[in-house]
Amino acid sequence: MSKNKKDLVIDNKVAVLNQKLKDNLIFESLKENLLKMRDLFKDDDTFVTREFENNYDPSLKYGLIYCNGLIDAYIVNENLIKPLMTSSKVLSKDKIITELLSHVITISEIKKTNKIKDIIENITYGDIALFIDGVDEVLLINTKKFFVRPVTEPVNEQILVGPREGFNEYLYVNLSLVRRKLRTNDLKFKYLTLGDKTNTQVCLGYIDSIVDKKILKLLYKRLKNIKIDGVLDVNYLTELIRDNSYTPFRSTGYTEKPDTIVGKLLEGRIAIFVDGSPVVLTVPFLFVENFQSSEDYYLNFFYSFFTRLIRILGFFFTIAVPAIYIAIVAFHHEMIPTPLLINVAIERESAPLPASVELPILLFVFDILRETGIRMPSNIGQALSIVGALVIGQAAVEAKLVAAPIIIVVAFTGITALLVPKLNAPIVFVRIILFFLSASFGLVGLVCGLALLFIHILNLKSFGVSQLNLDGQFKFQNIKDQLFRAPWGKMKRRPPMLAPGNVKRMSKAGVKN
Amino acid sequence: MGKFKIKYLVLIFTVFLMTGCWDYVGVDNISIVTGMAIDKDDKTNNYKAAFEVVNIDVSNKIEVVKTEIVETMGKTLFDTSRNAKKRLMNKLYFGDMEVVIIDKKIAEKDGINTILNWFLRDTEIRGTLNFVISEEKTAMEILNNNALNHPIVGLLIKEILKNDNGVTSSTIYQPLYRAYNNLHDNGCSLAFPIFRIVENDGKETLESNGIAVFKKDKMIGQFQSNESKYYLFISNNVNGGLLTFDSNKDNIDDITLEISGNNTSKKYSYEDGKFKFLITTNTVVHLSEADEYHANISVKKIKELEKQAEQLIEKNIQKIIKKAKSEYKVDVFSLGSVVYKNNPKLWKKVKNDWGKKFLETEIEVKSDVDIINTGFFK
Repeated sequence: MSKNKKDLVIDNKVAVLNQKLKDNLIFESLKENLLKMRDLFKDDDTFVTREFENNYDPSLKYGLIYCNGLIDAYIVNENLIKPLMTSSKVLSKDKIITELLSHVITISEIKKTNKIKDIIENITYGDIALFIDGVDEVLLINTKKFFVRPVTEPVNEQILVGPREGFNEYLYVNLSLVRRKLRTNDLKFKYLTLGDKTNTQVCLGYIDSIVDKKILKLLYKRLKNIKIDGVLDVNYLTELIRDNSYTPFRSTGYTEKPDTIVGKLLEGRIAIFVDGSPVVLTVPFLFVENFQSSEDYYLNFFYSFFTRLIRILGFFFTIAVPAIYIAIVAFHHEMIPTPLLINVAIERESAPLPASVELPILLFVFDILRETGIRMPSNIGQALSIVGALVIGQAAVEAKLVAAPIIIVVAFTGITALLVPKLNAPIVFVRIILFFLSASFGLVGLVCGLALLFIHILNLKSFGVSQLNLDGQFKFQNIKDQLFRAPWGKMKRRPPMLAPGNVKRMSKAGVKN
Repeated sequence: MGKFKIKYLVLIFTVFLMTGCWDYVGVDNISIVTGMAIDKDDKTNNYKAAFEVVNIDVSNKIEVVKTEIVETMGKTLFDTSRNAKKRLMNKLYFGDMEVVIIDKKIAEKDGINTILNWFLRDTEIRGTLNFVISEEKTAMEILNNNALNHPIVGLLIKEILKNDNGVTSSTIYQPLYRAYNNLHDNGCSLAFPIFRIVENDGKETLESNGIAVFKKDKMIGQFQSNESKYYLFISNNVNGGLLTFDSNKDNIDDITLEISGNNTSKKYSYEDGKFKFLITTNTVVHLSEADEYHANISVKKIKELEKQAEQLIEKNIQKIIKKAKSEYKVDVFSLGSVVYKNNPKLWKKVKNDWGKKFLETEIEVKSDVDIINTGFFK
């Protein structure tokens, strides 16, 4: 069967159309386009279409589509529809888009596209798509108007001295907060989109001249290999881009404070912003960041040294105190001074269960109370503290269900855990493992447990960077910002493992007289 | 994980975990012994021991801690402790025992070697355990006494002994590890504190009363409280205490010096088969009481007082040396160890008749007192 020339031409056209359908590209006909869009947003009542013509040239047919509630109606009316309708300028059909952009529409940010996927992503984020009859391109016009939480002090990172502003859920606000503090073209923001359904905008921020390019490349590689339906918070990424999958320890840092982010960027780290989350990730992550607070750098270094030491000790206490208690009480009586031993013995005499059973139960009860405290509405918080303190603490001791020293140990353990909120996940597990080791083998078990823990921490890596880098050398350069916070005048170099190419931070430390 | 790693893991676990001691014993499952008294039954020659055990009964939780005395008999010391279990809920725990009170008669007749033996071998006993000689009829009386300001006699005695050197210098602090060394080291001799019962405010209470001195492991005599200070001067253990004397020969002590530090050095020379010792004491004191010299004491007067104090020390040290030579005929001051430490070869030669040599030894005492502070008032 042979085809004539005419048939072939028609076949070609059909093939192109089919290809467009397949590629999800838009057509030239306004009607077809709107039909297609309505079909895509079927059963979605927030989807709005609006068709109109130019007053002077009725052949200029326009169609707008947008989602209700995301756009600024005033801008749409005044700067888009009004000029399009009333423009008396004769527009040539061939270059209509260029002419519209340069003479008619008075809105700053406009993108061109012909992909339906782009249109969907943008109109669900507050843009308006402008279809023009006879043109197979669409203008995506920024008319966003969101209601966002104001910039407030983050509840989880309150400080005494220093900047108090915190990120909110809107990506651009967050970027602006960082940009304002780093007024240099060296600061780069690169966008990525993650999540097949959520199409969440993710932004990587870094300082080009400081960042280690190898780490940046690795981060891109890991992010690009993520295929997930939704990214609602940074923690989705935290777990997907980490080096060791099965460890409770973090391999990314997080903060809600722009000043902290800027400090980390200046040390050569990369910030990962996720739209919709007020938390921003930083990589690579050093173990000592668990104990650092941005306030350390705003206060006198003597005081910072002290508070950081308390946090490090707090971590040790919260994982080891129950284990030490059980080891001493049940294995190594000779370690306690005699009067204390007598007091502990008298308390224990009244308790029906052995200490090794009592302690885990009460630690579990404490965790229940803590979790309840976080989850419940704040107006019944008082009831909880009464239940926790009175019923479980005092009453249990008075009813001789548990011994008083155990309550003290549990309370101390719980309080010290709050010193290092970034380590709350490892704390819960490490504490109970150390406890059982200690309850089975005494101090020998505890010491072995701590040794294994230390080995594990030394093995942790974040983007190829060793998290706890000791390398056998006790140099000032290595510890100046770890165990203590050195005075600013002494911190002339950046951490070498983060910014190997550009370590000089300060060339002059001021004049003393 | 490869076979290699597993091998190392197993190795680590065996080394650390399989070789330790992991007896889980709750503190409520032990009977805490704080003191022990050892007597001997005259007829059967068995040991009669009394243990001071802390009463951890719940009912006295609010009150002060109470102790109970458990009295037992046994053929050996360890036997007595096991026999005590017959009356107690929990096994005796000796890790916190602070004091062992030994009857004077045992110390004099049988010697204390056999007693020390068990305490040295047992794993629970601490090296800081104190031994005390009882002057009373039985050692148990001291343990069964109402301690004055501490509910537990064992702890009270330990505190009395531990702080004695720095405050009164009236007795000796001789924990187990030192006692054993003194018993067996070359030229050393053993000494233990003595306790007795005295009346205080109508009630009986215990009190330290000087030092018991030993020949080998048998007690041969004692220095009273006032002599003990000078014994400690010789052995360089004085860190405190008072020196009182009268400055104007009216037999009423009017000067009190508080010792704040002392250093004693001992030197010897050996000529013609005879030893000659020089004991030098350097004492730093504060003038605490001087009734007759009110605000102003002249430097000259202070020098005079220093001289008098020096004479007092020299005189008293000579007195107890004389007592040791004439009554005990034993080198209770461990002077032999000075020879041994400086010249072991010489010691080897004279070791066997050191007892005799000591009696022939001439001992010179030189004392230097320095008053560094007189206090000041108008």
